[in-house]
Amino acid sequence: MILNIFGFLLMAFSAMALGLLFIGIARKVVARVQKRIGPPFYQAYLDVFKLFTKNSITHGFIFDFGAIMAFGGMITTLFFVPVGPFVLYGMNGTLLLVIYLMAVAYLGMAMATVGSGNPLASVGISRALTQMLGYELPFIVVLLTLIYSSNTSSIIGIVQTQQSGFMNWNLINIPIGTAIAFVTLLGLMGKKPFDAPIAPSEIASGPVVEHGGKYLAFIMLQHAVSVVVKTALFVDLFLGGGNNIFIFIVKMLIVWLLVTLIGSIFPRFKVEEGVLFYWRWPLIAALLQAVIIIF
Amino acid sequence: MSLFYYTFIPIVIAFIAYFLNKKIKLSLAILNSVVFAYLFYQISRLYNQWNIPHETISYYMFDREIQLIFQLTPLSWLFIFMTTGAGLLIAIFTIKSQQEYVLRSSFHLNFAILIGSILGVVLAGDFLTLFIFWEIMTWSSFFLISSGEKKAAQKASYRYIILSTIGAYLMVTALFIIYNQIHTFGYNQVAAHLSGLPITESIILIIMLAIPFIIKAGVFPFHVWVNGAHSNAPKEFSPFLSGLMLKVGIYGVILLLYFVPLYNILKESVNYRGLPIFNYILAIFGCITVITGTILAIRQEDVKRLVAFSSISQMGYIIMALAISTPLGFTGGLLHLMNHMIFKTTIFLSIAAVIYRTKTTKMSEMGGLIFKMPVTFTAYLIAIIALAGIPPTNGFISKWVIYQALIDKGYIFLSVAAFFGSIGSFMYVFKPLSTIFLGQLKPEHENIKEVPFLMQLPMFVLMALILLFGILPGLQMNLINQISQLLNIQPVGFTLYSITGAFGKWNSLVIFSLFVGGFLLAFIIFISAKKSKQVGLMDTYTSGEYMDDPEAYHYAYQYFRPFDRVFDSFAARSLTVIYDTFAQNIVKLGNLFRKSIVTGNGQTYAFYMVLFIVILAFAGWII
Amino acid sequence: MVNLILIIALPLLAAFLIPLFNYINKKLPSIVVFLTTAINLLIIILNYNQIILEPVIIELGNWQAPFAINIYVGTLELISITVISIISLIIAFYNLNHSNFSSESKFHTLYSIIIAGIYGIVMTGDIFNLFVFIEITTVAAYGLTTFNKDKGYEAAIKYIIIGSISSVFLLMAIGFTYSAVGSLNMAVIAAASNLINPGLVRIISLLFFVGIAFEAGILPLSIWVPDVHSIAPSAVSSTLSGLVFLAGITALIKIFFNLFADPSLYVFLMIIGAISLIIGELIAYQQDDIKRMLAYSSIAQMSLVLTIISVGTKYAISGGLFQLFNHAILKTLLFLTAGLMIKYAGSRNISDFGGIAKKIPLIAVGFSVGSLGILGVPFFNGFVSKIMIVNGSLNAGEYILTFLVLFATVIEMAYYLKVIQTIFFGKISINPHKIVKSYVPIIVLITVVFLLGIYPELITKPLNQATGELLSRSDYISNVLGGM
Repeated sequence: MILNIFGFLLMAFSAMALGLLFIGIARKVVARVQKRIGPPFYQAYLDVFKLFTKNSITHGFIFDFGAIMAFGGMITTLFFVPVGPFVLYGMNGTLLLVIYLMAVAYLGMAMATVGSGNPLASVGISRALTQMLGYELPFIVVLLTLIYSSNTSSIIGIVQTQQSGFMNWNLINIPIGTAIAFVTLLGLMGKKPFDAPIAPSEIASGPVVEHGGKYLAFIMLQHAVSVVVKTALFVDLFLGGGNNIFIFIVKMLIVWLLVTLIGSIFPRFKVEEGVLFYWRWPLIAALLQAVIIIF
Repeated sequence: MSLFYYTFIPIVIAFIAYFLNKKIKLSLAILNSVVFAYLFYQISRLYNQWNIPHETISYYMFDREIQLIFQLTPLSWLFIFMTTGAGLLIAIFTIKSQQEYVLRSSFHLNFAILIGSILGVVLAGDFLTLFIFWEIMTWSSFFLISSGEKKAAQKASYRYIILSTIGAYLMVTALFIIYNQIHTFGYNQVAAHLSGLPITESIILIIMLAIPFIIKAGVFPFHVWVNGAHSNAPKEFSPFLSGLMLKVGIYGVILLLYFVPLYNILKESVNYRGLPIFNYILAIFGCITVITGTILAIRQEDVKRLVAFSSISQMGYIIMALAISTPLGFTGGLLHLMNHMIFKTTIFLSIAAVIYRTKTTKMSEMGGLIFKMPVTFTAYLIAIIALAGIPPTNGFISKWVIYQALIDKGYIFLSVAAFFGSIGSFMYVFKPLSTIFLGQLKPEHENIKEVPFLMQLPMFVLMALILLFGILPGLQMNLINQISQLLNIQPVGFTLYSITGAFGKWNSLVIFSLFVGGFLLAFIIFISAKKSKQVGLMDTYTSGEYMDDPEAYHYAYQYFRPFDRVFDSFAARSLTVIYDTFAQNIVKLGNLFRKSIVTGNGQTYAFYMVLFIVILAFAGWII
Repeated sequence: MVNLILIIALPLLAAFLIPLFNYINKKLPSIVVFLTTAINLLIIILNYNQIILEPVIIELGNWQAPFAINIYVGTLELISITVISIISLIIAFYNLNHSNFSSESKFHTLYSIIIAGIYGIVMTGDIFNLFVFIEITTVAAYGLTTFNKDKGYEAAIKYIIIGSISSVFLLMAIGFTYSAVGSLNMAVIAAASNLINPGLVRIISLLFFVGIAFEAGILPLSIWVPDVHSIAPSAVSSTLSGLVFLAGITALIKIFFNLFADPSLYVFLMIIGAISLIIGELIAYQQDDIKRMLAYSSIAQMSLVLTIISVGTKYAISGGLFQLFNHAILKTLLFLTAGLMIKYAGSRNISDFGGIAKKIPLIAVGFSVGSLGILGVPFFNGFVSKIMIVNGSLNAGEYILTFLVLFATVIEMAYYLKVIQTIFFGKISINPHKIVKSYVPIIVLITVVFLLGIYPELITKPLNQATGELLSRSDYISNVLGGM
């Protein structure tokens, strides 16, 4: 029991640390792409600590509650995703669960932001929800294909079907699906060209406009954990997981770098264009893949 | 207590209390609550007494003895339990919420008759009893919807009853065709007879029997009455309409497909990937309903219409799950039926509370009510978490089982539609949350208080149920497995807090404890940081401008405009127009007859008479 | 065992004595009419059980059939006259105090005459006698129509034109029959109908149909009905719509089932009835004047009854007859309450009736009970008759007919619901006038409606017997002639 709690806390904090590191690396890479020097790769840690020392304002109970709900939800999600060989609770049926738990975090953040009373925040959330409908659709189709082909809806189960060597990775078995999932990952992470919800120059960073001090720190931590969760998920589902924690982190890093690089060179889609984009070719390709797998 | 009395007590009490209500103001609502509480208690004592013998009332008609049969099965028990439970909660709610409602007494009269008739529909043991109480149910709900305060209530209820009656008459035709061949109305005998008929004939009869139920459930293409009825009904009746009336249609579908059981007949017909074609078409209709309901819900500006469309799409889920005829599908459908009743009633009750205080249903006219009505907000929040299907509420469990059922059989398009509905629901439930409860408070709503305790009580009860069933689904599964056994469907494995699906088990206790753990961690980190200063809602980042008018800073109107733009052309071609045009053409025909025949001129009339004789003579009467 | 002839004789006697009573006291005529109808009901109740056992035949003047005029009261006639007496009693009660014309003796005279005529049509066993009573009824009806000064004359003129033409055809039919058979007695004609030239039988039946259908409510012969029934005072409308139509259809049934039972004619009756039903319903929907709407509804219901009865099977005929009797009760209720509502609102248009149910609740409820009864809501009497009709037509395999009947019911629902919604849930838009509220007739009628709805056996058992009698002509013939 005590061991469980200890593992729990260790996992949470190491995920936060890893995520912040990844964010730092991403900022460095983007800067280099844009021919700047960029901040040091440990900048994110400094930011978080600084934010925790600042005073902040709050707009009421829902603001606090939403922030806690967002972060708490994201941590709960973390517990179900296998990171390397470590998974806190590897029961069956976790894939759908993970998708929905990410929604909890989302809902919490959405509540907090709208509870602040700033219309810019509401606009940001409205765009975020719309876009979510866009990218979830092809993503779900790919996931369904995965579940059907691996005959299990537990992430650990899917990892285990890919254990026997490189050729068994879902990247090779379900190539179109992997590509589509990658495009969806861009949307999930909120990277360009799908960052209309954040949109610094249009709606003043959208959801985070009223967050300051410890709230902004929470958002950053939540973002960090979500980076870990999403890349780990991708690696587990399509790149064969990893018995070794270090190989796993290397794979995560590769995925993360790819995402960042692509995200740094594109302009932004308008939100309905993003949705329509997702519903056109990615959806058709994903359905094609599904049909191939099932029949 | 005899089963027969369950049906008649509410009706009789309703009439007595109606006259009593003229003297003592609130007596009707209170009397209704007491009666429903009593019935609820009696029904809960009936649990597990599935061996009560049938009760019959005999009538002498059509030259024979006709028996009206009442019986109790686990399936009917589920429905009467839900009906009286929902009726009790709503009756308690209405004690306080109808202060200014003029047609209060007729509301309660019709409500009691409605509850009595739904009990009759569900406890019926043969088709004639079902039909009689079905008609009474339609008529009392017609009067209930008409007594809404908006002007459009009349038209909406009109549409509802005409559509309902067309369905009911199809059923009565099919019933009497069958009756003339076997001279009885009982469920088993009808089924046995139908399996003996040639396949096309029995399929036509089955479709005719099923249509009124599908109309009542609000499935595409018969969903045109639902949004009008919901948005224009009295605010306390909408929870019941969504929560129960649509479900009675589903009860009919379950009755026909599984209880009677007509599924065996359909199995003989054309099969598509192992599923009879009729079931598959039904599932496709369910799928279209889910998508249509979701997309239309996102566009609405009126909160009751939005929730009405959401009800339509959830009904689509249930129909899809039931139509695919697997044990998991059946379990998922029934689970979702129960859960949907609970959380939809909560949503509608909290909206009714908001309407009670603000007297408007347009979302753009409200805002920031979380500070004034926290209990209502909490109820709404938990209910929408359940609706969107997020753990650890009961909505997630039922949706999870439905997904398992769909994926297990590899129905790609159905699963995609189901997910689409789920993600889309996230959008449309968030819209009222952010426009009504969050955001800027309007100055005219400064003095709004929370609703009275009697109105909060039902909300508390329902919230507790949502969480309870989310953590311990075994309580529901117990009953559902008994129903599955009754209907010869293989039961699904379960324990108190876990369910076995096709691709894995679901253990809700673990989920819940992990949830608590995550929250606790976040909370601890939060507390350990510095305390923050509370500022007012108007004090936000405005790029250097001064905010003095909260109205301008509340983003509520056309919340999802970019998304709506994608579907503008789709939503413009509504199905309602087709129905209306058809009706108008019939009226025009009547007009034509009137102008040509009724001329008001005595001589023309005389001419008509002679013409009549001449035509008849030559048409064969004489020649 | 009171002589049944009194049922016809008493009202006639009262009618001719009313001017004398009027000289004594102005209020006396209405009381006299009331008493007459009450005594009629009493006579019927006294004779009820005996007639159920065996039909009663009375020869007038102690001449024997086939030379005499006889009165034949079988089960069908018995139920008819029971219903007629109850309803005429209620209407007479209504006329005591509440009608506009309570103090006009001419009104009561004519009313008595029409009641006598209706009884006569139903109970007679001789076709020329039938003609006489039809004429009595019609002439009294002409008179009663004109009591509304505005448009009564115009409506009455149209009525007279059509009535006269129909009488001519009826007389021709009787003439042909007499020349072919040699007797005017219905039983004799029935016995001899096989021997007449078939072509002649068909001509005669067509002429009879035209002659009587005018009184029975079949379009296009009843084109006078909307004008007359809407113009007449409500007591008169209910008598015409409920009772005269009842008598007319009964006469038609007797002619087509007992006299000339030619199954190939039933198809014609069915088609005519169906067309008339649909047209009647569709036009009724267009109306804004409530009494015109109710009049078209009457036409439609009568056409429905004719259509169903002409299917010819036992179930169909009993369903149709039950619908006929229900209609009489319900239409009376509807016309009485509609008349009161018109007086209250000061206007005949439905759109002006908004929200008046709050002020005159019992009258509004009465109207609703009447409409729901016609529409066939369970536990009202109309439900039982409706499912009997559906059963009857499906039993005979007439699917299209069932579809048409149900379609007509949906349209009926459309226009009745329009009124119900307006009176209960609309907004009040007129200044109410004072009316004398009469509750007793409405309450009695509502009670009868529910009684028949919950215990239909009260009527269905005698109805089955009546249907049996209708379908067996030989029994009829032997009953009348064999009792020589």
